Amino acid sequence: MGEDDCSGQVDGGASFSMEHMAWFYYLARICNHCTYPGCLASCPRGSIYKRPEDGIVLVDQGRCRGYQECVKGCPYKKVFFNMMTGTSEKCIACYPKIEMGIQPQCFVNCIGKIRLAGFLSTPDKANPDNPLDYLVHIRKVALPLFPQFGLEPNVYYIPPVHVPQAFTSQMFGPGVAEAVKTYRNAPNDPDLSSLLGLFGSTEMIIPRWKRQGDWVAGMDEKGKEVVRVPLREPILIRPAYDKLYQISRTNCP
Amino acid sequence: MRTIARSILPLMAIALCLAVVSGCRRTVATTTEVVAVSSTNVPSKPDDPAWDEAPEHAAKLLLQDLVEPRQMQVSTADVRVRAITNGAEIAFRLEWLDKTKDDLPGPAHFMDGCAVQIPAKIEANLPAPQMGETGKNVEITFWRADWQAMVDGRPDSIKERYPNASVDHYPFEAQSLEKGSAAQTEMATRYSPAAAVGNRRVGPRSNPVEDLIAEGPGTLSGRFNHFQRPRDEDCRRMVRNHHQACPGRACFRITHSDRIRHLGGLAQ
Ligand code: SF4
Ligand code: SF4
Repeated sequence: MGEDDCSGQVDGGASFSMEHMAWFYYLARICNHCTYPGCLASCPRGSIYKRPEDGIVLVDQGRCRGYQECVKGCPYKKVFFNMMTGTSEKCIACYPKIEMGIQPQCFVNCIGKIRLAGFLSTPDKANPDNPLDYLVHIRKVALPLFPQFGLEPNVYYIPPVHVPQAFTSQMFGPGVAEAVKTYRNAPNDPDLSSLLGLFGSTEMIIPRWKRQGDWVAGMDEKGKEVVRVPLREPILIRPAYDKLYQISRTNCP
Repeated sequence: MRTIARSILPLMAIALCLAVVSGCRRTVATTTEVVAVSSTNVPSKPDDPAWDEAPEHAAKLLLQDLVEPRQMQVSTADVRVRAITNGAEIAFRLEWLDKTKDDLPGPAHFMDGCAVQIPAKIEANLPAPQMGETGKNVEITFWRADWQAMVDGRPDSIKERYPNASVDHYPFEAQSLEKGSAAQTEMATRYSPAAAVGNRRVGPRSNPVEDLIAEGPGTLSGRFNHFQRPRDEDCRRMVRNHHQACPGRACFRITHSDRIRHLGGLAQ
């Protein structure tokens, strides 16, 4: 609206008027692997189960008879009836990867590097060395989607900062204002910004993290380092004209 | 349910006379329970004339008001049942009024279907009619209209199953994979987890029914576990089914044949 990725600011900004300025944001929605799954409760056959070892909610593809009650029962609309199998299917949290200590595929694939998967402690056992505990319980910068549904969803979102909070507070609850404030201050907050830098830095699940000066490390349960990234990535400025290959390249500002 | 011999014939004669008077639907002998007539000819088609010799029982359908989602209003009030046995096999004909023919699956769309349920053990204290109860199994033969359509020759393709669907690409349907090849089978298995564990809700089949057991609501199970794929020839029961649409209204008639030994205790 007011800017263009490649040519910078557009003179005059947005050129239309409505009730409010236009805004948008992406909302990647996978199954929340809820603590109290509505899908599970709605299945008259008990075909849905929550694994005690990791909390992953699965539809037993051998038991499902396609009644589609779970499709109705999930308020997040995350179970789908697959007409090709005649059964209901949903996100499996890539459990074969989780079992190997690897983050799910959609986390690893994210080119924006804005997703991090791991195990969250209960609030009373919050451990600041656990990256998810730090973000969710300690800094409260990541919030559940539609907590008012009461299912205790286990996907947490850092709320979008440009969206009116009257709107986002309906989606993410009353903690939105504080979360946005904390997130906006990340450049002055070396711990928070360094942890955000760990997002997308490794395929492995990193149950522990630690900042050391201008570096941050992701570690396994025993404290063995898995990945290390700098607090600030070095900036490389490419000349618009590449003399070597005699070609012009467009650099985005 | 009990079996009776030819003593039913005088009744049938009266019924035939009445048919002449009423003109449209022939009046048939009705019974207060399902009565199986003994005959050497156990029909396997719903329009077999042999059915005219069997009395009809109008069975009121019970509400499923035990477990969620409860059904507090009946969509079909009753089903008319006839039964014929030869002492080794029994056939049931179920007939009900149905304005639409629903034999295509889809999201929030369910197909016509019906089932015959028989207690696994015949004893004085019969299991609850709502799919049996703990320790008191029932055996269920379940028929579904889309399976019948498949058996009757409807191809198993996305186009046939979902005429209005627009599909970009299903790897296991891809042209490049030769039908029936190992690669195509592997793909089909990977993208159809239900089929891979032997849960054949859709797909090609040569038998329009499913052989099930249950011991209460929510316990319905196939006779095979996930790792044993049931083959049609494994099905213990000989089930032959057929349905047909009558002019002006949809009327499905299904024939179930079952070995009568299950009913031994009831036969007189
Ligand atoms: S988001 Fe929906 S499908 Fe996933 S666990 Fe929760 S209720 Fe079930
Ligand atoms: S990639 Fe894995 S975790 Fe992500 S939505 Fe798909 S199944 Fe779920």
